[in-house]
Amino acid sequence: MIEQERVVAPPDHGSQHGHKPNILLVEDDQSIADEVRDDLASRGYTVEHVADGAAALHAVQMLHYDLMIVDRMLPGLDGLTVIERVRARNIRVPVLVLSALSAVDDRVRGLKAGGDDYLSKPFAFVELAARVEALLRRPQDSRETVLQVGPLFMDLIDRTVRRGERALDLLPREFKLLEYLMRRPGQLVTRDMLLEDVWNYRFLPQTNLVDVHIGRLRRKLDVAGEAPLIQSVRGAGFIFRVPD
Amino acid sequence: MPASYSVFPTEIFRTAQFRLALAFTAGIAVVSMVLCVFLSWQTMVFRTARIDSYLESAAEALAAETPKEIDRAVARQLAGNLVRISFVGLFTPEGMRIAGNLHHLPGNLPVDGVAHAVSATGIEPYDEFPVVRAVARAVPDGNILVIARDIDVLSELRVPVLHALELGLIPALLLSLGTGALLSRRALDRVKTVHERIERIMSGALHERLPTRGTRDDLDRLAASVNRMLDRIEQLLHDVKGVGDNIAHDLRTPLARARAKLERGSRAAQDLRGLRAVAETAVGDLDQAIGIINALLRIGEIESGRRRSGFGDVRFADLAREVFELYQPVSEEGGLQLVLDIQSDPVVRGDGELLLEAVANLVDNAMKFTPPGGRVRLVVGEEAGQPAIRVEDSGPGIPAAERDAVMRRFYRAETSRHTSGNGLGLSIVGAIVQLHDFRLILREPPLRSGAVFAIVGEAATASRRPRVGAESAARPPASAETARPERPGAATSASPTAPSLIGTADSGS
Repeated sequence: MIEQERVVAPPDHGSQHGHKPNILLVEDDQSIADEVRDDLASRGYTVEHVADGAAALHAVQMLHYDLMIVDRMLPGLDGLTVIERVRARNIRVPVLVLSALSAVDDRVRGLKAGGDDYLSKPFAFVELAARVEALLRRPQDSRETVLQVGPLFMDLIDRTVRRGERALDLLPREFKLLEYLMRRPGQLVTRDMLLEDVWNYRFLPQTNLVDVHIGRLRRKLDVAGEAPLIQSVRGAGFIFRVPD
Repeated sequence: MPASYSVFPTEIFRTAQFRLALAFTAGIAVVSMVLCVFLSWQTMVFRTARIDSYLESAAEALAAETPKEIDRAVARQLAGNLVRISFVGLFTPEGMRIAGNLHHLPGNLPVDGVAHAVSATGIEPYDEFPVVRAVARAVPDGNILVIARDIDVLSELRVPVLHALELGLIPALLLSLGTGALLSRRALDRVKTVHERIERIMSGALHERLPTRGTRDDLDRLAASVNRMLDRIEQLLHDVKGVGDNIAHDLRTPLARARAKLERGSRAAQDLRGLRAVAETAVGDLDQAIGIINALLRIGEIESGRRRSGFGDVRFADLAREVFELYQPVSEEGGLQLVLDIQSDPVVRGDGELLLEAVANLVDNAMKFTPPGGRVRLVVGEEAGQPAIRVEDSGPGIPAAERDAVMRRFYRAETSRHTSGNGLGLSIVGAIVQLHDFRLILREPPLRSGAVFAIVGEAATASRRPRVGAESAARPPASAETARPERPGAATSASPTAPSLIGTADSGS
């Protein structure tokens, strides 16, 4: 569970899965596709790029992919149709939908069609990388009633949290935030992800809402002398990590 | 000006007023005719009755005389002395003429001393009168006396009736036609000025308005309505222009910054590290531009109204609590006091997610403009009897002169240019409020400074309950966050415990 890596570095998937995650990118804009491929390749993924829906359907049937990134607007077969057909063939590959349309309705439609996450263009690469990573490592078992990461114990039934022997007094919103982080140890979590998943926010507040909440949680997690558990990644988000 | 708008004389006859006058005139004519006919008829009936009674009494008087006298009287009449009797005749019981100017006894005239209408044909030389009134009466010697008179009433009436028509009807007709022409002339004049004004407005003079006289007549009210519409259109055009200008301006600023940074960085950066730093800040500028575009798209999405189909019951108090929980830590970090005051628990119909966004935007906005040490109050209550969520801050407030402008889309008070944000927060709030048919009002602040925004909704059901456990529910469960973050200097006035729940009137700063 505990990973050693630079702050924004390719996750060490090799040690977990024995192979580099294989991503199918379906995107008709060549320059965006090139950038995405280069960026993801630099983060340790193998990326195969196809430019239209028919090629994507063909590819996904021929080879096993760990993840599909599908642009919503494609020539010929539309992105949502591609996803629906993939799902109809009972292929359970996680799908990240990309779209220039940011409308909430559109997001809902993307997820309904069988997408697992949705990112609107233009996006920051770090945001894309974080989503990709989150999809590749979906929380293993959400039925767990006790979470443990390093010295931190969370009881989801009693709603209690301990760090070592010290009990933490958390507000419900802080509990929810910590649970989200503990389910994604060593994983980059962006502000957008927190807003969407923890607070169910679909818009960006102008104030530094996320940082403030993280800051509060941090101060409750770490008392003097203890190693910080939540690390900030400049310009990207946060990583919950147990130091050595 | 197009020719169709000019007033030709013939134009008058096409106006509604003139047509009305014409119909009116025709009506007057018909009524007058009917009146004349009625009068003539009445007069005739009256005259006939008088003639009858005269004839009857004359016949009775004559019959009472001796036969000699009767003969004389008949002769006298023939000499023209029997006034008002045109015909007289004395006949034997067998109908043979004895004397008089009646040559024979009218066949169907009963000898009863009562006047009857008798066909006068064959009564020489008065054939021209088709009907006469005649009385036949037996005189003492057994002979039959007949006296008759023509009823030439029509010829007598012709003159006064014609006079009446001349003196009454014709002036009346002329008057109503004239009035019609005058009215239509005036209406045409007004229509003409309206047309001219519309031409001017169409050619770009948007500040022009249709003339009104304050008479509240139909044309006036129509003009007033059109003027209100013009006000709205002018406002919208102004807004749209402002939108265009503001978008261009707001987008240009971060783009210009990014461009400058990239250009300078590509030339002046000493090493990769320097270039990277430049690129990173440039990306930040681009993100700001993207943020503006996203906000605009979001407004467009909300305004399209598609989300209305997903409306459900929303409790204002729940919204307020959620926003309060979200922003309470932020307020403390910023040295502000955020106060939740739930005075009632109204339920409205709406999109909870959007309403949350609206309230959060207002709070976000209030906190941005309130300096440290200030206070932001989030109040669930009523506004003129309607459920409302109010966000009050103790910031610098909005000058009265700017309040209208603030409510307009995309406007951002000049003094706020230095604060971060794309200035579209209030526009998003406005779009959400409009989608719900709610109202967003900017109120006079209760204290001397600060701003008060209120989202005023409509109660979904009869659900105005008095204070539903507001205090216990709103207070964070971990009662007071006693382990306060150390923030020396900040939040001097902020309450050290959970924010007070009952609104007090004292200033927050």
